[in-house]
Amino acid sequence: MRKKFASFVALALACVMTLAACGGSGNTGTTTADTSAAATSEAAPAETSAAEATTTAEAEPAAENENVLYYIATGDGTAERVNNPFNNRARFFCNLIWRSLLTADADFATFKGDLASDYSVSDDGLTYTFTMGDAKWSDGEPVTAEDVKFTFEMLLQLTSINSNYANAAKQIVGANTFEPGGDLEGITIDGNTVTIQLDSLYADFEKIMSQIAIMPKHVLEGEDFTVFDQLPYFDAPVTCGMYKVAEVVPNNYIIYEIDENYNGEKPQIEKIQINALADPVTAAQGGQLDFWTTNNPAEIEAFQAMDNYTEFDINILYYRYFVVNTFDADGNPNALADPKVRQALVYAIDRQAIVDAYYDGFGVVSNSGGIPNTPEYNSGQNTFAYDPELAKSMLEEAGFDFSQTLRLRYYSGDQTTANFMEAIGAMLNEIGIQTDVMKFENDATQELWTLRNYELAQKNLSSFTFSEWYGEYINENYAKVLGDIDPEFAQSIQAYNTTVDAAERQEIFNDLQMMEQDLIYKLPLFTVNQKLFINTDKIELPSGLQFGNPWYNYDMQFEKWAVK
Amino acid sequence: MGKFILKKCLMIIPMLFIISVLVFFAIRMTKADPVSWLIPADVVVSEENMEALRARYGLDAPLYVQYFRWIGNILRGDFGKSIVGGTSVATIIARSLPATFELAFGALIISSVIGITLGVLSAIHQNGPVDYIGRFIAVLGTSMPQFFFGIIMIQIFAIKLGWLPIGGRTDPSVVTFWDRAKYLILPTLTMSIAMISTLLKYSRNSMLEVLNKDYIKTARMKGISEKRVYITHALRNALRPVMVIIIFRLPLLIGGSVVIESVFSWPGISTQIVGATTSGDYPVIMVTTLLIAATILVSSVLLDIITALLDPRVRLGKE
Repeated sequence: MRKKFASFVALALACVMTLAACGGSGNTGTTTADTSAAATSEAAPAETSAAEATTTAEAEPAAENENVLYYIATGDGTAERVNNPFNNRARFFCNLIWRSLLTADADFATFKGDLASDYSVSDDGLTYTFTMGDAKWSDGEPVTAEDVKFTFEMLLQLTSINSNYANAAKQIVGANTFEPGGDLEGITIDGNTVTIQLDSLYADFEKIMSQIAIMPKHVLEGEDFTVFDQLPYFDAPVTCGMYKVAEVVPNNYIIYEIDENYNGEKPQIEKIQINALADPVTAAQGGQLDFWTTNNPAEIEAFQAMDNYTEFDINILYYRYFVVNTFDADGNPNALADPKVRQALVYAIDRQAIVDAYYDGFGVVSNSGGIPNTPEYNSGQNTFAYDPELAKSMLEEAGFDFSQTLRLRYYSGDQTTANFMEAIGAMLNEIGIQTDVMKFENDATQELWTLRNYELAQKNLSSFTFSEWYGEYINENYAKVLGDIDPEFAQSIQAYNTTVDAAERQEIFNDLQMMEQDLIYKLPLFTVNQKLFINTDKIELPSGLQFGNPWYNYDMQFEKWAVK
Repeated sequence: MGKFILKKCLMIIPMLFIISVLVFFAIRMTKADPVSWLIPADVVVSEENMEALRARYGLDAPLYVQYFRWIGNILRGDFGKSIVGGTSVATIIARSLPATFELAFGALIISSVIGITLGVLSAIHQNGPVDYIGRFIAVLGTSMPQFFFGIIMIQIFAIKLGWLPIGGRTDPSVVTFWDRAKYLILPTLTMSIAMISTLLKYSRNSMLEVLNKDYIKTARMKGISEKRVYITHALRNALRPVMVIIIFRLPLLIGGSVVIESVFSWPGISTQIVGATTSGDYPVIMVTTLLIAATILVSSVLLDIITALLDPRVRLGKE
């Protein structure tokens, strides 16, 4: 018995040691695009694809004090492989490996060529001409005008794509009739010049051109774009940014190294290591996170307590509001179909108290798409100051049935959201409205737009432009909860999107803000600012650097960042 | 004995089949929609495109057709692909299961050695200082939540002292076995603490029970040394019920490591299951659930076999 027990223990120990020894960076799923192809006349043939790359050019181990910037992927698939930049460009590491035709400054007000060495816009605003520069892909192939046209044709085939990009792509001549495998007539190529012809004016087109990541035609041509996120391309992407993907160990880490084919100023930081760690605060405390952006109050407080981090405030359009479902389960208008009821609910919620209590004042109460303290804000609008008595009398006047229960739902998983939703429920209770506050059981998309078992659903929108906020009113999702919206309001939104003259546009925007207040199709709550934390004990930043919205692509001057 | 083992093994098959049916239909009842999960809430996708995507993944067929299609593929060795990530389920399992096994086996060994040793010593020195320390550890391990213990361990050993990594399973600097092993220490110890207290209590009680038996008194009266009485006569009989606990713990460790994997960002199978359940990624849920069920069933059979080996009365039936 003793011998058998000893044998069992020895065998088990051997298993553990074998597993421990065998696992690690060599396990299945580690892939690297074969980026060693020299940019010469003997460069890899055009049909080379990332799917064929098999060898792993493993990154050298990062020793202490080495020239590495640490970042983390906190989950939701970001640690398994490199993410699709069209759903959400909103990741720091996407911007380092993919590039766009243009790049923006931190305010997204001025633009210059990135992949395009030069560009021009016709007087009527309908023709954009880009002259391609001499950028190369990480496999040594040149980035060409063909890649640009291919990218836009691909965008029209994606089933899941950021609405900004989708709307911009749809403005191109021929987009509405484009079929997969066909030719998008609105984009023409002449040598290294690509011309994009729009059907109608699109005011934010330049901004969008600074965001759309150009994709390699020679790698992706022929792929099934209906399952774009699942393409093997993202296991080892061929990219054109200042960094390339050197190593991916799924759910462990991703390593970026400097792309020797990058045609711009070479970055000083040699490697970016993206670790799969769930908690940013712990990662920062453990020296595994040098750059982080957040609006979570608990995280902000924790980072503020760490002396080695410098805090930067960033104004972004991060709206928090309620989607209003104006239909009952049978498809008939419910109580919230009455705009007076919706207005009353805004008066019933002390939004400033929520911002003060749950965000330490780190937010701004909003009453429309326009945000106070911004140049575009219409100061003549109603601020819906908290007035529960007024709210109650408005509801009584509207014949609101106080015996019904309003279902308040939310999908954000953080405790702050859970807390302020309970607070909102309590505020509504105070004026006699019965509420049922609960987190959605399923994913947000299904709950918001398919199941729709709510009257008020708290939603967030990190908006690149004001157009994105207003664009929601006229999209198919909102039609399911709002039905037909006021035609004049819809027309104003279209006019806002297609007007390029700044003064005219501001006038329309002023009108939109006022109209929103009468209609209250969305129940506004507040916007939350963003904080950026950088480990400046380790990272040296270029002087005069301005930070912009970290969820979007802009010129961070990353080539000038250095490890001290 | 061979017939006994064969019979036990064959019983696994119908049980797995029943489990697969139950899990398949239970998941469908949750209304989780992997296609919907793929689409962010801000993105507008027409119903037409959604249906096309569902058809692409075979989610438009009647449920029984989906089930038999899936079970047929499983029997052919095709575990399918993750709807969310596109990676083959076999790859996901091959990648994440060893990580969980590392954790589970490590925890099993550490907790067995420490728990049994402390339990036996507690019993031998009943009501002495060793016994009180052992019982204190048992209460501590049972009452302290694993995630809390894990967070404390990270704060002390990883952040304050900097001796061990804060999480993860590996990084580019890992070269030797000991580089890898240091990632295992904190999560394994954390996972062990609850099991140490369980094994300590069981070992102690079992040993105390055995020490009161007549054959132990007989052995002492025969002049056998106390050391030999404890090790040769008492321990062997005291260990039998403890072995049951240990063997049944293994599948629970594999399936129940989600807290540890979350706290330590350990890329194991539990994390995959949680992620797949949240997103309704049916292929991943089905295969991983069956895997855990199979592990539990195999453990049960293994236990029966070991019991039969240790106790001839079991394998000879009613004799």
